[in-house]
Amino acid sequence: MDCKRAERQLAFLTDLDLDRGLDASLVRHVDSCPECRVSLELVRGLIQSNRWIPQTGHEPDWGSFAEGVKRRLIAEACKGTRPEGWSVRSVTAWLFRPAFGLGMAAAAVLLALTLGIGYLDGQRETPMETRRPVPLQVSATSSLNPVPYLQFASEDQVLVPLETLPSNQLVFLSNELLSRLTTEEQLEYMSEDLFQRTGFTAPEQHFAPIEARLAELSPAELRRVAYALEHMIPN
Amino acid sequence: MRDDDFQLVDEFLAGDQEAFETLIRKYQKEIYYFVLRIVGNEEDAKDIAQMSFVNAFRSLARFKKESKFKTWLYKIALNLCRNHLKKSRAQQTEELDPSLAVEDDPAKSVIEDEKRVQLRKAVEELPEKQRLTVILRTYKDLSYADVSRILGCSEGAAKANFHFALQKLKKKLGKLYGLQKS
Repeated sequence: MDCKRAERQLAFLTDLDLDRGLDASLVRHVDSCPECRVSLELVRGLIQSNRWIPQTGHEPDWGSFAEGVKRRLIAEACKGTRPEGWSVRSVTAWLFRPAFGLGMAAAAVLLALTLGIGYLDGQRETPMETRRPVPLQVSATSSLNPVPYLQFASEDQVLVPLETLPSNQLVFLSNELLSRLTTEEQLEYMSEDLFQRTGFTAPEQHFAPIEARLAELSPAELRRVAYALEHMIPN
Repeated sequence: MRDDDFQLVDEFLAGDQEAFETLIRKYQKEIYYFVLRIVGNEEDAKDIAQMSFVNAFRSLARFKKESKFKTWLYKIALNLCRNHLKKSRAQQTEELDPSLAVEDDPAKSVIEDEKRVQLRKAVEELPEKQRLTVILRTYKDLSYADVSRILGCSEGAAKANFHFALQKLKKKLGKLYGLQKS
């Protein structure tokens, strides 16, 4: 027997062959050929290693294994037929998560800007009659950091300093940003229910507490909120 | 002679739920240990083994009986293992302590232990196709025809993978096995 034939035999060696005893011509060959002897030892090692059963103490409970498969099948079936819904608890938890809170606060900064400029210009075009003016620092900071402004849904975004926008466009921009934020956060229902694209619905109810909180912030904190909004709404 | 597994599959498709449970009980250990050899983690192995049966259950109506049920089940398990490895990026399996092995020969030598550890390590380091071929070929003595069906390659490619794997192992472990030049 030559090495080529020996290796072919080794490639087909089975567990049974090891128990039964190897072919005599193969044994003769490996006795005289160190290369094939190592090949045989390796194949033998591989087969024996696969007989090996790790006893790690974590072996599954075989009695309940099939039961586990059934449970998984039931879970899969439920997942497939039941639409994913929002439970009151999960929605509440989601709404109060820090990221969204920050986004809301940041959006409120823009709203405050809008109303602040409107107040300074003496043009109170927004329906938020009860709101307080926002400190001027906010406007100054924002003018240094232009925000993306989507003029029309079909157009590309352009960067504009907030001061260059008339107050009615700032209102539109605030609404747009809020709308995008809620849509991107998959809160379409909020977009519909709370922030209408054509005007704020009961704004004092939703924004007055945020504005009050914003009024307490330092210019540096307000700046961070503005940056956060920029990060939260990808261009 | 009619394959027992095919009969169980037919019985299950005819509405006998017990038949599938029989198939699970028949192959649960084999599939679990096969998966464990690939992923190296008991928890993941159990999950993947159970999911293999779940996937088999869902696809059983499409099983064409062109291969053995066992081969088909191995293929499902292997696909899940591959997905798992891709996801976890854990191409290297955890080192399972060989001292925990069931040892038939109580007079095992230190050298034999060392060889076993090194061989296991060297197999883990083989390219994926070669490694899977070696595991499939030497685990439960699957034929090259079965190995090729499971891996989705030709029988020739499976044999070549085994050949190259053996050459690599020889090159790596030759010295340990007493070969002068390796």
